[in-house]
Amino acid sequence: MRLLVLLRQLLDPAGMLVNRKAGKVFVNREEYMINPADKRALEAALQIKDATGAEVVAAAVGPARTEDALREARALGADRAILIKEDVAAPAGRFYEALCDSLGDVDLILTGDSALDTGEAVGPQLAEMVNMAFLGNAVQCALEGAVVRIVRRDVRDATQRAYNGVEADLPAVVTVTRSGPTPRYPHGGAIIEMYRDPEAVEIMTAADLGLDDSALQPAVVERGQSFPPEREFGKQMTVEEIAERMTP
Amino acid sequence: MNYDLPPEYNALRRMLREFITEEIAPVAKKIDEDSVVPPELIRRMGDVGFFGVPFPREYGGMGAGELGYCIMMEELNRVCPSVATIIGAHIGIGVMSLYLDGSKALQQKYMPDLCSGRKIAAFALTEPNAGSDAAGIQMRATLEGDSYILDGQKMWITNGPIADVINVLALTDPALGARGGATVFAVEREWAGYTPGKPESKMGLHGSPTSLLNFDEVRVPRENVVGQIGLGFVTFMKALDIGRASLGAATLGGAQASLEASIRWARTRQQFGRPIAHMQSIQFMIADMAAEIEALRALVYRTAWLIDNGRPFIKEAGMCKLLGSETASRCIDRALQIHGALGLSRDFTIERGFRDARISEIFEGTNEIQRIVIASELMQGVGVRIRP
Repeated sequence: MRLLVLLRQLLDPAGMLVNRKAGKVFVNREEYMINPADKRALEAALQIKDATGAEVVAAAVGPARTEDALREARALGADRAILIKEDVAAPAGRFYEALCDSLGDVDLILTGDSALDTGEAVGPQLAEMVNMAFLGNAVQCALEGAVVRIVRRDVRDATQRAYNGVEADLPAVVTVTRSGPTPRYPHGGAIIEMYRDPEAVEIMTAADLGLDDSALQPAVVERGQSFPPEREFGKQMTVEEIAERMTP
Repeated sequence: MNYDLPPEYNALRRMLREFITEEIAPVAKKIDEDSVVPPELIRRMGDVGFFGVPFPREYGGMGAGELGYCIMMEELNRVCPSVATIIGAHIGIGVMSLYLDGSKALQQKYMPDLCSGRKIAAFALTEPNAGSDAAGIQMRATLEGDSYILDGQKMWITNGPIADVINVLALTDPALGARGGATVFAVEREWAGYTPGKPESKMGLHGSPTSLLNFDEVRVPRENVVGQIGLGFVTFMKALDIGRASLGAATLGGAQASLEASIRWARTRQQFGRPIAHMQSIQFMIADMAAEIEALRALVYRTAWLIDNGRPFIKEAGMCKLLGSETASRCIDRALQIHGALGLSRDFTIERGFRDARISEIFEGTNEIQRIVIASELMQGVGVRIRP
């Protein structure tokens, strides 16, 4: 049984300051973190590993600094970590697809439902590309034999407290939300070990995955930055006023 | 010269800070009010490695050396001095004396449980009549067959009420006294004749329990002697020397918290129509704090480097403790002044910080003793031997 967890590394918003007057984002401390939903997807994978002994492979696409996210994943308990070292804003889907091919027999792919910074959601399309079943927005995820079962919020319920379960046959892609399982903390000793082990993270390039230059073209070119207009305070209304407005 | 931390230590600090912010900060006030650290928190901290930072992986430690230990103490004391003191007494002197001079068998017996926080260690030196004059201890250990019989009392022992393994110094040869006639024993909590007293009611560090320890004919097997018979005082002094560096790191965290709180408050608090950050009187206090903290940080991490690289460090470790505790006291005093009457309120962290800071000038060797340690190291360099 092999689980593949796709991680994205992004700037920690705690180190950023938005200045509306200057129309700029200032980065005070350039610190990076694992996308929170991805970290919960990793936790879901590690819980499956604890229960079944499955192999967990963590993977990420990005520049050299992305190694930090993968070393953290190893310290948390991932058996292998693969960095696809490409420092371009390239469509990551191509890399993930190629990685699945190169790894072979991946039974379950887990990743966050979206990225905190860009909102990007690779899960649904990736499932199509690798021809696997797709289960989205999991808050819990478990394996039973060759069936993956998730719990997700029931969007038909107004109280937002109802959940429902769905299942799919493996192989499957599951995306986990930021309400997914609470990530564990790594043992400090595991962090030190994973940083001192030169082979903790395997490095691959596009060429290693059999991808040519066309896979490396960025899909979007940044032209500039703009901010949404500042919101004004709403008006407080009495029940009577609201009722008056609602009467046709 | 490279002042950047190695990447593994940056990652370690990040994880520790996350744990401390998420798991300890929300309960720090309650720990002070209830005078107890929840056992569940101790267990979770143990799982992450807090209780064995400098010790080898084979014993369940982090293997992060003195540098990692100093980072942990800085981060922890920045948020909760009570928990930091439990761990400081546990690692810095309690387990350290076992690790420095204990036999392999003794280390294998106790260290895995101690490094994982399943068991807590204490270091028992001080007696009712032997505080700064540590060599004046009177507790006796008499050989009887294959065991030593321990008789006497220890006082002001950090972790006393909760410790499972107590490293205690007693006289095996009263004629020779502490220098040549004192031995360290590892005593287990359950052994007959050992009773810890009830926790002292203290000004600060409410979550860190301190008590006297009674030894009434406690039978200790010979294999529980830590280090060599007669050389226990040396073992304890070595542990104290190292402990001073990490205590300096703890005070650094406390001082840093004072500075951060002061900057936040100076930005928010409005007087005379603008934030008090615009007043020079406030600026000067904040600038003085920042300058002293920066100097302390350089000293603490250099001393950690000296220890990890096997260089002489006793003078510098004494300086860490001396400069650190006085810097932290000055910083929390200024922070209180900046916060005004609000600083006295129990609803703010400054009041607790003020109560928690003062002890650092006293325990693990008073600052007066630190000055003697530093001076005697300096005098030895010119051939003068100082004895207190």
